[in-house]
Amino acid sequence: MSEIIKQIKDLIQYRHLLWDLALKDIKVRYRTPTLGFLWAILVPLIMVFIFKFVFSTILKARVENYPFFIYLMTAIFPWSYFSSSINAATDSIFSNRELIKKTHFPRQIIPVSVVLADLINFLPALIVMFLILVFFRMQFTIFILLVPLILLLQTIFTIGLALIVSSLQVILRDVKYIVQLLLMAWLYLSPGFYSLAIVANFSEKFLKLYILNPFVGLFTLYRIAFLKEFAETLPSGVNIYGLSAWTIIICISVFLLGLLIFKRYESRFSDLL
Amino acid sequence: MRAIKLENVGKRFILTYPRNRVIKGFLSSFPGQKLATEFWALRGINMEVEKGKVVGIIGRNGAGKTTLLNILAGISTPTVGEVEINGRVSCLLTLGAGFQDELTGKENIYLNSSILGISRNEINKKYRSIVEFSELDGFLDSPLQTYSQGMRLRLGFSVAIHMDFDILLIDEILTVGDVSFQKRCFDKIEEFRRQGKTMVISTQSLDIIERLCQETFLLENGEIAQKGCPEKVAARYLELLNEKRLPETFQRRYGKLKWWADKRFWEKKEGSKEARIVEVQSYNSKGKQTDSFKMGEAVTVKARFITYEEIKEPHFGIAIFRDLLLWAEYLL
Repeated sequence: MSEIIKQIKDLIQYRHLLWDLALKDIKVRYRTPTLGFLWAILVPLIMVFIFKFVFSTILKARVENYPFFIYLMTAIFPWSYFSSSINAATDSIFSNRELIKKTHFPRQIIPVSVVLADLINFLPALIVMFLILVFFRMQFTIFILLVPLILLLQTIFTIGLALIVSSLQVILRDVKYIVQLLLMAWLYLSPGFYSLAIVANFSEKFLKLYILNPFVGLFTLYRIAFLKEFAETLPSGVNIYGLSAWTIIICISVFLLGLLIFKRYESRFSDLL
Repeated sequence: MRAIKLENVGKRFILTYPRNRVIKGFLSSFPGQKLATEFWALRGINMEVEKGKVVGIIGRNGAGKTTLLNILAGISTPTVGEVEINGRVSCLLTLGAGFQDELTGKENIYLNSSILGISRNEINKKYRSIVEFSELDGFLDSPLQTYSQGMRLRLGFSVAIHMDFDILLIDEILTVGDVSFQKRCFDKIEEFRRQGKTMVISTQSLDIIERLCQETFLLENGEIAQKGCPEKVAARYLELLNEKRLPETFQRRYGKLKWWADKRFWEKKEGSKEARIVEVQSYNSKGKQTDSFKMGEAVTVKARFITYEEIKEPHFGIAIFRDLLLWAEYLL
């Protein structure tokens, strides 16, 4: 436990480096493409359009009470923040090997800075999402104020997982491919483009297992924050307080587990790179 | 007070592709199994450095100098043994490590400083001084891609020495850069020594050891072959070099061979052949022929030459080199 506190203290002490590396990441990412920072908004938006076309236009999927596009967007936007963070983090230790082999600083800064960069990247997309909701004349409730908290929860979870995959990738270079596959499976196993009611109809028993997935909680919380009276549309098998508590517990646990695993492998990085 | 203490430190590397490492690493976890590809870069290193001492680490390529410094710097962890470091460590290991080509010089100063653990306030205070020392004013808003190797070096050195530290680790860098930069490096190191900073210098050059160090460790095959005063270690080092029958260039540098008096070296120099220097001798202030001089001593150089035709206005030049073939002074 004292080691985890030290890791977190180091992150705070080196916050300037964290910030500098995140900014560097963003600068490097958008300095060359012609459309520059626009891509931060275009990527999730185009993803939403693709899903909308496949599921709504071709497969005729519907969700009650809300336009399908809006329903998709409230999940796909946060998901794109998560998946691009994890993808970038997996290789982050490896691609910063010069830094690791030649300088001494708390290593956890590297994957955390990658997630931070993607968080900064996500903010304009979040604003665009908000504007689209206004454009569709969606009514907002007091729950919109929860968004920063949910975002924090998601970020903590993402950091935990980023620490795990980035350190494992150094030990086992196969992790990158496994992560890509898992990310794909994960999105399909989360209520992004279908509702929890569909899962409940499929099997009540499966639903109990299904809601252990932290993204069930995160997507649901995002929708409660953005969509009016969303909590009422949840199937009876889902208790919103229980689900929230579970999501908070799992996000914090994964964060701590990430620090623990990272600590375990960190000392071997400079030899293995 | 003790600044550094190493107790029975060893470092093992496993020399194989990452793919095989996982399998072999698993196999080697069984008792009695030994990896065919393991390599001990350091073994049984015991070392104590008092605070304020300047310590040299000398050894041939691959003797384990860099591995040792990496362990002292905390970049690498020893496989076995105990490391105790008291004080803040700064390293001049690879200057400008972590420099980003895409960022400007100024951005890199800030980034590099944060990597070294300098607080934002501290950098703001020292920024002017860093820029002045690097002599790069006017280039700082250009991306680092546009910098020459020498400019990067100056920037890296400048940032590194502006960090507050108790222990400074220096790896081989004094032999790079141009002469004026080298001189400033030496001056800075002298200054640190007067301030009572602890320094560990790794080098292949006896010259540096003799000039700067109070105590020296000679590394050979990852073990300490000799330690003590620089003279003692230097003697053992030369012995070692001769034993190993090093290439001629190496002997020329460090052996007792007077390379500058070696005809073969100069015969390779082509001239216009109007005249030829046949003999060069140097004398000290007492008129005794010698090739070693004290600081501040007057040197007389006599050269015999033959001319093949009449030369109206002959000019002579003498160049004096340090042992690393570095140009030290030019007289006319």
